[in-house]
Amino acid sequence: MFFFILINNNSNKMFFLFIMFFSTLISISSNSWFGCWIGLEINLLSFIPLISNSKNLLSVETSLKYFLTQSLASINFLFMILIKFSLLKNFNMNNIISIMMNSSLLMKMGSAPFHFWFPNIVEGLSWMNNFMLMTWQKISPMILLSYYFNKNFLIFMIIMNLIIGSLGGLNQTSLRKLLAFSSINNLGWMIFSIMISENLWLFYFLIYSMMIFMMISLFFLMNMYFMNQLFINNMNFFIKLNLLINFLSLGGLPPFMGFMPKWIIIKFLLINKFYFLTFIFMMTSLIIIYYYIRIIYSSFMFNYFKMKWMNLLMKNNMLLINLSSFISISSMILSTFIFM
Amino acid sequence: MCFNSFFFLFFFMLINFFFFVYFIMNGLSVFFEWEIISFNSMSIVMSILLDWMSLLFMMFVSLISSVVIFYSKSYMNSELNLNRLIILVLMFVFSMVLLIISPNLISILLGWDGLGLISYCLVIYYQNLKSYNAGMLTALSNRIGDVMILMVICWIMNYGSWNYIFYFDFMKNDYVMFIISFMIIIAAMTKSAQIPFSSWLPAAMAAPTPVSALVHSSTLVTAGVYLLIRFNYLLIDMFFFKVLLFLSILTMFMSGISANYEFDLKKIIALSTLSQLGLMMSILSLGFPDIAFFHLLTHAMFKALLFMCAGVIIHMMNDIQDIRYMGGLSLYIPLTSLCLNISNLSLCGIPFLSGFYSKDLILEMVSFNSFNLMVFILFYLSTGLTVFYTFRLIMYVMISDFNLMMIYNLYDEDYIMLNSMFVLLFMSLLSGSFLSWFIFFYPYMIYLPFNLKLMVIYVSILGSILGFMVSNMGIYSLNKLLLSYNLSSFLCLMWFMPNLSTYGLSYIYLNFSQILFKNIDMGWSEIYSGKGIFNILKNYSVFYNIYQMNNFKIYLFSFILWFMILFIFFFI
Amino acid sequence: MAQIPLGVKTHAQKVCSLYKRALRNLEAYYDRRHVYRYQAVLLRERFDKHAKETNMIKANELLKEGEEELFLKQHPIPKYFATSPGGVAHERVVTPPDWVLDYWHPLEKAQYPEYFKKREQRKKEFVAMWEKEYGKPDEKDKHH
Repeated sequence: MFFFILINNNSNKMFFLFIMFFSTLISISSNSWFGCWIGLEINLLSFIPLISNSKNLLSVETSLKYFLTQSLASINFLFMILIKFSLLKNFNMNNIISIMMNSSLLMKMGSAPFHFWFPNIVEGLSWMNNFMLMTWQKISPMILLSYYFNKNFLIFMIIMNLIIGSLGGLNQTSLRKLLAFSSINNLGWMIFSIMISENLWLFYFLIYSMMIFMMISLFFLMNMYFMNQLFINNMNFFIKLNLLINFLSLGGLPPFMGFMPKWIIIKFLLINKFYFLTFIFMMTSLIIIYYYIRIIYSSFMFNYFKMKWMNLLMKNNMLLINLSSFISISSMILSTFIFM
Repeated sequence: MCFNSFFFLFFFMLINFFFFVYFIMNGLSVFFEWEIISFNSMSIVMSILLDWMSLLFMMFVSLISSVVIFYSKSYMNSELNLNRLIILVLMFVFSMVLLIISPNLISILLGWDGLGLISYCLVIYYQNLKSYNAGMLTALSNRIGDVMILMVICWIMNYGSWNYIFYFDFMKNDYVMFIISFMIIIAAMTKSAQIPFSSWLPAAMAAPTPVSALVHSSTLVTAGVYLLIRFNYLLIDMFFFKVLLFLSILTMFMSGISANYEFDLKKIIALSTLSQLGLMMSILSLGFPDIAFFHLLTHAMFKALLFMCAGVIIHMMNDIQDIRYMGGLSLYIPLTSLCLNISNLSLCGIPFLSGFYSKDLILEMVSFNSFNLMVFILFYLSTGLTVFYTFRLIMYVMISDFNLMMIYNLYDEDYIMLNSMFVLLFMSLLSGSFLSWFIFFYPYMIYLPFNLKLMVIYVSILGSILGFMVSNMGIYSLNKLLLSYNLSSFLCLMWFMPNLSTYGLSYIYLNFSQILFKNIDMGWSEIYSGKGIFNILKNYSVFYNIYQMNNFKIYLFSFILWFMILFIFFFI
Repeated sequence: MAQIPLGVKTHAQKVCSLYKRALRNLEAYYDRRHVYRYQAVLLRERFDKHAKETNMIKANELLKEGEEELFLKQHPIPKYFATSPGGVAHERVVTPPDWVLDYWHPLEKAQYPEYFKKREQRKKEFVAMWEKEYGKPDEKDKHH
């Protein structure tokens, strides 16, 4: 992302990027709820210029939609903060105000049941902006969520996230929407992890963002936005392999990197006796892997679809791709050596 | 390759002979034990038992296999891959030797499994459809015995080690020994082709003739008898021996009858082997293991000789094994027919040939001790039947007119085959008396009335007369097989038992599996886990997408609605 | 696929086939050649009795009864030569077809130079002989 802003010689965007980073830091490190709200507002204000591009009508519309939903959520957040200060002098966690605060934060993140804007907006953004939206923008609402949450409400939201993330993606052909739904699904995992401990969430989040980065950079380099663009069969073998490994890693299959955070979260689920929730995590994960494999099977089976009209020659950026494959495959095993 | 292995095995036979004589004269028995690995409290030990029985048997096995390998140098000389066959035969001999010298069950299992596997490889040596089917039948029937021995290994771990020879005397009434004896008897029955498992022996005649001479006459099929001889002290008062007696005399009887209706030369010899095996098993189950061993050895000699003569005849008949095509061969191939006659007469028990000593001893022991009427009748009847099919065979093959074609090439000058047959001829003449002097330290005391003593001769003469009469065919004679067609085909096809173990078994299971496949694999399990769940999920996803494709205003409005509801709840 | 008839046999062909199979069956029962000859003459007399039958319905009935009788009386162990389809040595040696020789490696072919020199010429001669007898193939049959 940096490189492209640098290459485009657009120092305005660089400026807004830095402000966006700082706004998150403001919101998570403040010791008053007002500071949190300020950080969220600055985040919104600095993200909008990054995604709007006045030459393209679609991206203008997208940025407008983003502004509307996020500002609505911020207003509600501010209102609930004020009500909490004035009416509730004590600090007990599981009550209705916390539900209301949580739902506004959930809307900021794009989690179910307030997620309807998320696939729409993701459809209108370019890949790098998507990357920002899916990873960085989730940090501050998550951490704010961990400061004051309603356990029962959040568990219900987790279940809804998982189910909607898995079922919604079954019928999609646009790659961006697919990754959006997978992001909603992973939000379920992340919300649970942040209910356990912030450290655990950080671990999951870092690995998730690394996987998403590899995926998105691959799609960005190949300039692919839709599923039927994947059936180009003269992709280099290593690109196909990288695609395969990354998607399976995102789905959480064992020898790859993406299995490790899910494994640890399942362990915590079982320790805390959330048995039925574990079952739902498992089953929805299965459905997600189904549609990941549906994306990539055409590239690595022997008999695959071959389009007659769209045969492009693929050059590959060997360094990045090989590095990301290597990391995805080996990091789980290597980490046992490091953290022994 | 042939010569080398022949010399090696012959030399091995001489060593065994020397040691056998030394051991039996001095009453020695040697037990080697070699500890391979020992680790804390577990140790893997290889043990070898050499007493006179194992040395004698090894001598006979190596003699027959050396002669057979020498014979197959000429018999299979048009075979491109003869080395393959020789190597397989050598591996077979090795497994047999392993079986003979082992006092513990693990090395018996190694030898037993090796025998089953290599006999399968040898039966399918000619790769046509008949050999394939025969090989399947052989391998799977033998496999049942292998499974039984594996289970015996499991059960005998209760006693701490696998050396079964130490446990016989003081564990007789134990429940575990009961189970072990049952399984051992079933294993021996599959290997030696007794009644439920007898369909593989005639089918295994699809193997090349030298292989049949080695495997199906003397070594493979006697492995079961040998195992029971070793386990005899355990089994001697058990109930299962009575069951074994019943089944083995029925085997003897059935195969005797079937051999009378059979027209394929090798199958007749196979059925006669089966009959003699039944004889061995039955005398074993009556409690006389040494007589059974004696008969095993003499039978090995003349049966191998008989197979080799049959091989010469088949070579001459241009690969035809049907005796209806043969006749009058005694005029054309006198030396071979000499060997054939001597081995046939030895099989019948004609006085002072080798078969006489063992067979006559068996029959006299049966008459002397008081057994029930059925045992008595079936023994003598089977002896008569043996003579019957032998004489029928002699009539068809030797005496009559040559039935193949006008042009023939019957030559007897193949000296390699003849020399190998002469070795066995020598042994087949002398081994009866020679073994009876060695094995029995004191003769059996038998005191019979005159007519009972001559019963053997009576049934033999009767059998020979019937054999002569059956194979005479005049112009006006009507073939009796046509008249009693149902009964004849029942008796001819081994009482339809092969159909039970081949068609009957596979048909039931294939039918059942078709039902399972259609109903479950392509039926209910599709709707509950395969496509059914996919349909459900797809419908849910379509339903969800209807929600998703909506007006943007509605999202924002729904959010506000949610908040208003929560607010109201807060202030109630 | 089931509607294509594999071959239509005339009544005479069926009767001849029945006769031949009945003869082989007799051969299995009566081993000696002179006995067999006697029984074969009897069988031929049975067939000759109805040889001039013109009523096709009766002829077909007789044929059916004959097949039935043959089935009921077939020998359990028929007499086959060793290399024929029911026999013992059937398919024991398999000779490779002739075109395998064209796929040999040049080094292997160099071991038999005389043969392979003549082989191409013989192939051309064979094609010429075929075309002289049966004519040139159709243009339609050349390309799949």
